[in-house]
Amino acid sequence: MGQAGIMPKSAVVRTACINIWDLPLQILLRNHPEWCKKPVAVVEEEQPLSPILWLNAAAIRAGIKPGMRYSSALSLDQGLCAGTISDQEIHFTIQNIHMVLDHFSPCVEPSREDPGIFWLDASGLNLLYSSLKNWASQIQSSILRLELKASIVVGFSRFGTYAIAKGKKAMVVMPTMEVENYESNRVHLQHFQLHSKLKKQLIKLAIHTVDDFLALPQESIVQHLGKQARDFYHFAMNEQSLPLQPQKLPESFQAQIELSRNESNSQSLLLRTSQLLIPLLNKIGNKGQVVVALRLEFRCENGTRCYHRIQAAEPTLNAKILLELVGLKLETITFIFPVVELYLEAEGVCFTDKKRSLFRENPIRDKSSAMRALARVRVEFGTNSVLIAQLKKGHLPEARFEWYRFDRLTIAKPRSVSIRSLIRRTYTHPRAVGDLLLKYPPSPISSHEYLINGGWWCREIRRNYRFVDTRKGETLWVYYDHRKHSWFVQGCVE
Amino acid sequence: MNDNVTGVRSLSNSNSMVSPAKTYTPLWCKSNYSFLEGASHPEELVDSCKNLGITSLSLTDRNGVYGIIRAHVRARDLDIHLIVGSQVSLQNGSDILLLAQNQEGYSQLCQLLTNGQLRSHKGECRVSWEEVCHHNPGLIALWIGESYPIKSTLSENYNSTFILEQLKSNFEDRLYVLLARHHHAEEPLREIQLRELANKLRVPTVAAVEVLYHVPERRRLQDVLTCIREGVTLPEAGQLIRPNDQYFMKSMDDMKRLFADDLVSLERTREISERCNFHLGEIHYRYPLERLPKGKTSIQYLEERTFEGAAQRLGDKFETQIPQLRKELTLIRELEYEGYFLTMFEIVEYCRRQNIICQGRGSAANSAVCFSLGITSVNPTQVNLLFERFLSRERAEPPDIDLDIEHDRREEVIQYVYRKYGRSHAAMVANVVRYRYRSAIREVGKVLGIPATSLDQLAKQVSHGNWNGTLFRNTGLDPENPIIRHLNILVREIQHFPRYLSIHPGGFLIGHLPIYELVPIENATKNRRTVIQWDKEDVENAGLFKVDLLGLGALNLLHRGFDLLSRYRQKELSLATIPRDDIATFDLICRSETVGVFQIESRAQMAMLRRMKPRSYYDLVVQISIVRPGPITGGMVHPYLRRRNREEYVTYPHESLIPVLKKTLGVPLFQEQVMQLAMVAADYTPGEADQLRRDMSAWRFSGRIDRHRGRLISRMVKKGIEKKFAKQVFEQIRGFGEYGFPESHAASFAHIAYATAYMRCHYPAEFICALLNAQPMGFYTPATIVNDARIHGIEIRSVDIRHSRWECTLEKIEDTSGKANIKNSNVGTKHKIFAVRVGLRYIRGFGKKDWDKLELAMSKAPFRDIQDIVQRSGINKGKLESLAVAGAFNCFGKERRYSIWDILGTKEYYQSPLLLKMDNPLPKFKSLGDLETICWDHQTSGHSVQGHLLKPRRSELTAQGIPTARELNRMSDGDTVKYVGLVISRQKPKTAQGVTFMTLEDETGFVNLVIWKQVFENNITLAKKLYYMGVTGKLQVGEGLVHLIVKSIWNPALDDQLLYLQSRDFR
Repeated sequence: MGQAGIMPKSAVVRTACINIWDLPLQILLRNHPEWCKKPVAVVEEEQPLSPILWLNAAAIRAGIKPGMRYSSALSLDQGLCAGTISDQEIHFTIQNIHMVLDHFSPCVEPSREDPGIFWLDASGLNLLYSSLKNWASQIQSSILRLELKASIVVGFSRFGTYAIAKGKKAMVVMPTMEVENYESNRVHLQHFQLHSKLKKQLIKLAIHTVDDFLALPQESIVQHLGKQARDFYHFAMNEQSLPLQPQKLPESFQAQIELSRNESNSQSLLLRTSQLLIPLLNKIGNKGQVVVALRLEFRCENGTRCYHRIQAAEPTLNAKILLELVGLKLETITFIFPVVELYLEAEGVCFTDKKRSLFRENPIRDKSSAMRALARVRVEFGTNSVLIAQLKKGHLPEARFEWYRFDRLTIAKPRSVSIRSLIRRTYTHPRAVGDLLLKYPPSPISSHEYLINGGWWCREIRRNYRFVDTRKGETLWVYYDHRKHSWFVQGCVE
Repeated sequence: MNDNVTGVRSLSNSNSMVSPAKTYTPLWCKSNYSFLEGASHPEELVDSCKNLGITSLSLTDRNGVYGIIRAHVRARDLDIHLIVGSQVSLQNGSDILLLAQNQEGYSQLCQLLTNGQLRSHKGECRVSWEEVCHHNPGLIALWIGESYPIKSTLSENYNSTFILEQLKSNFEDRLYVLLARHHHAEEPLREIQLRELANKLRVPTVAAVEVLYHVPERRRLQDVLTCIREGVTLPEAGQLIRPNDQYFMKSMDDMKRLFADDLVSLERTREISERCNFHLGEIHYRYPLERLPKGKTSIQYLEERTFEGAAQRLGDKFETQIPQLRKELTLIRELEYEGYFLTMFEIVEYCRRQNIICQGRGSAANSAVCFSLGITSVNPTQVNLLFERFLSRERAEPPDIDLDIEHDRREEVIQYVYRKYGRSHAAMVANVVRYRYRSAIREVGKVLGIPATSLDQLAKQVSHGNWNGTLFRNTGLDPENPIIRHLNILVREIQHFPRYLSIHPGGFLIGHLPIYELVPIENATKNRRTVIQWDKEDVENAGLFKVDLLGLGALNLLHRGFDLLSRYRQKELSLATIPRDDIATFDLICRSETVGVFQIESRAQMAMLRRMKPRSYYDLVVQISIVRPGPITGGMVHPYLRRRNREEYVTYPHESLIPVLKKTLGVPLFQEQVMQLAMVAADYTPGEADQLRRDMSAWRFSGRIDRHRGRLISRMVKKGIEKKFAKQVFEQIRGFGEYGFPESHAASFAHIAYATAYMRCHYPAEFICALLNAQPMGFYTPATIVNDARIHGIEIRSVDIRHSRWECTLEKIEDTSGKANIKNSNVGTKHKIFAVRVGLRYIRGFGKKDWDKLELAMSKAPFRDIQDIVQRSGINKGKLESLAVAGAFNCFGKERRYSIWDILGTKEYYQSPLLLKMDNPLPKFKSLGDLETICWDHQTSGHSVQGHLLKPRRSELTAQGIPTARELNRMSDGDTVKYVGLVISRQKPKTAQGVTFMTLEDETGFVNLVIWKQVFENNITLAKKLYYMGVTGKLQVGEGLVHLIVKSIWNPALDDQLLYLQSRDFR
């Protein structure tokens, strides 16, 4: 093959590839260590007809193959354990690995197409770690601490290291470019992230290894096998070997100040906050973002810390609005010990003109003012101070509605009510009836009562409800709880 | 709370004191035939009434009378007055109960429901209140208003006062307002409104409880059913499920307490009950009379056609059959069944006109009239069956004729029946699909919120009898977990509950009067089909009779075979003209070379053929009946074989039984014989025998057969039969109940079995070609059929784009002494004039529409090369690639890999209408090996004409000392052998007490394995998983049969390519 003549651009340029093989499967096994000796599969969904995406060796030994339906796989091995792994979980794990790898190389590039693959610039690191083998071993140990296994190949080219890392579950340092080429050309094409249709076509044509593939006439590849095959060909020929593209972790907007004079006065603290906030807003604005919320952290003289989250009525860069909310919050806080350090972090969000215009469309009512007012209430009385009730279709009085926090104000559309029923006020928690007439259970149920029972699948409930009049002229809404063997007042009738 | 309570506020109206009645009538009862709503069987509701001392009950299933026959049968037994009714959902979102006062009312109810059902999608019924008013005669209406769960489906112009006024003006004093109480919070207010309305319009009120289950314990199941219906889990259900468990059948005392303030309304339930006098026994059913030639009565016409047919079919024997024909016709006239026979005759005539092969089956085979009319090809004199078993004056039960029709043309006949009689007079019988363990686990488990993957695992492992804690533990579920405990109980409870209404495979109800006056008709899921609300058991219990039009693949096979004979050999053959008692055909059957032969091709039948060695038609009748669970569990097989082989004397337990058992050498083998045994040995009357037959078919569910035990045994002993034999007879009856096979059915099947064997024997190429074209059918896969054909000297040619058609075809072999000659072939060279060319229908993914495109392009000009096909056919490249993989383009002189490469590189017509030159350098591909070629064939078409998958591996296997199937079948009894073959069937019959039977195949034939329960369990993974299996065991040779008794199963080192193969498992 034509690889032999290609030499690395510089004799000292070394590239490493790390392959966390079968990453979703490893995450699943990390979540379920009790499954380690059983056949395990990662499925797309928790459904019998869901296809299998990843398998461990025990499952493969049982004859199960990726792509099979879970139900078909079960007929091969009824002990097959299966689970799903979300994209977020994979993303989160990749970020963790990335953070670990950042300690070992200034240049870490995660693969976009193949999750679990990372390229690292290893040039010159043999000087720092005594040898590249030692460097690789330390990386391997760090990944193992994350309860993950990886193959690490230190070599010379992107494709070479990638192919070997895909084909071998081991840690290898390539001595020369020729050895790397030889090894990478022997790797089976099934290990690569190619479209399944292309893989099947290649198998039919008896093209099994990288070497077989590179023997195809280059000019026919795109016509017969498509663009992906052509791209892979160029990749395998190291013709598109770009320098590594290090990826940085997301930037956070934060600032802190150590107070030379211990402060406990809210006005002084507000002033200090404004000193931190204004440059922070400039920085966020320059990045094309706006502030959704602020996170204020105070460190007091005695070492204690307190945190507060302040949410804006709408995303903004307006310092006045934000400081007004901070001021309100500070008024609610009493510092026993003076504050010695102030920390401010802003949560930013990209904000386009289109998004901004959505907030401007409010011709009839000044919804923004209402939103600002609610933001002030929230700041002053806590996040849970602004709630909205939503009707639910449960049987128990307490299951007929639910309180929700809400962020978006909508215009009320009251419906006309044809039949007015009794207005009942439900107590937050039913009150126990202590004595007198209602201490005996109702048996059998009388025509004055209605009965609610159910929930047998989790916690069985059985209540006999009735309305009773008191000497004070009140009408109470009471029930007998058969599980607790006592009467309770659910609420009262107006 | 310290306030003194002064009083409890009453939520109901003031009391009206009346003298208390002794009983009441539950007017609003829904059984589990209100699909996924009611939680008790109809029989349970009736039983519950009896236990509570209630004397009448109204069954009001939602939008139908689905469960009424079952309730009727039980109510008749328990002397309960059953009121027939239905809860009808109105289009405006409200509900009404309609109860039949008399037959007219019942008829009106059925019509109303039919109208509502036929205009709606399956499972829905839309009826307007105007229609209810229109159909009022003979009906009592109970106004419910909005029923639970109260949904926001009430239409905007819903005006209850107006509707009630209209109902009142139509129903007059037959209208009531229903007051239902279930201790529900919203009910008091609703009741007040209903009472106001009733007072205003002077409509009487009546008390009721909506009965959804017979005991409160079923409430949980009712909740689950509701969730299944609504597609939610229990925690999500909210108000979709009922608020409490007060929807059970209440006693009179309970009802008096519940309606203590309004006993008048409670008393009215009895009044309504007394006004409803309709009894289901009043249904008058008449079979339709055919259009008759002018001036002739139906019996005259039937006689004319019968004698005409008899003269043609019986020839010289016609005169001798006249007395029998007259006897049969007299009985038919007495029972007024002439319409039924004429209908069957008309359908058979239609099939004949349309060149559709059909044959009557069942007790029709006992009738000379059916033979004369051409309904059956079985001459009753040939099998000596008694006509009385077909029609009996004493039993007065409908005749049973099943008409088998070649399966791919059955729909034509069904649509003909609809056209001829109209959808009002003909509808198909329903089939109630019920919950079994697997469906119950999946649906109940889902409602309980158990992950679907766990349920799937559980459902895959469950079988009848292993539903216990071990099963849960094996699937990783904790049986002590409360949710799993609920699952355990609920899955048991829901067993046999109706799940949905499906359609019977071929049962038609045809009536002289519109069917919708007897039973509501509704739409089936399948387009252009309508179905009644009763299944075949209900139809039978209601005294109606049906016509069964069933599909049969073997008839299709024969039709195709006859057509090939006509086309290629100019020989006309039919079921009626196939030569009888052909020695060569029986020789073939005795050699058990019966792959593809109807009914006697399974492994068990093949094994029995070698023991039975049938030499006559009646031997085949016995052969077909003997390999059935009935005779096997009854221990009848070995005594019969010993007597047949003269190893044992033929004896009879009592001389009175000689006429019954003589033709089966003193051993009962047929279902009819068992019934006759009861009549002769235990003096059962025809009515009792009929009851026995019904109980036999139901014993598995209810144990009803056991009530015959004492009666049968004591009567037999009294008659002088030994007690031991009497007990044995009872056990036989028990065994037959579930699995018995009637002689009359076997007689018809034997006829088709003989015909297919004759074709196989004398025209093997035509037979194989027809068999491949009739697939899917029968017991074996195309791969096994092709392999077997090759072993027997038939040349099978692979798909070829220039020669293959859509279906398999015959091609003349130019050199008849050439390659088709194979050792051990039993086919004479005179027959080897045709080879079978495999059709393109066998290429997976290649459809008929693709073939049509290809055929059109070929009709214009033959294809020059692959590029020409891609350009002109308009078939997508993926499908052409499949053809290339199958070797269909080898005719262009290119190996398969190069054909694939060409197709991949060619642009389709729509991409480039101009021909592209392909002058790029050609890569060098590896040639396909033998194994690879065969595997590719299997991947694309499920079989290979190149050879068996094991053939390329034979030398390797021989080196390991592993014999072929042919060699193994020649070894001696007791030899210990190792064998490797492909699994073609796995079976675990219920009757075999855990023994598994497998058939393995190689390029030389089959090997039969017997795997004892313990061996199977020790090797369970390999035994269930492997398609390419290695076994070690001991040979058992005897009576011409070879079985390998397996000791161990192992995984032979195999090529990965063989892994995709599929076996036919556990049929």
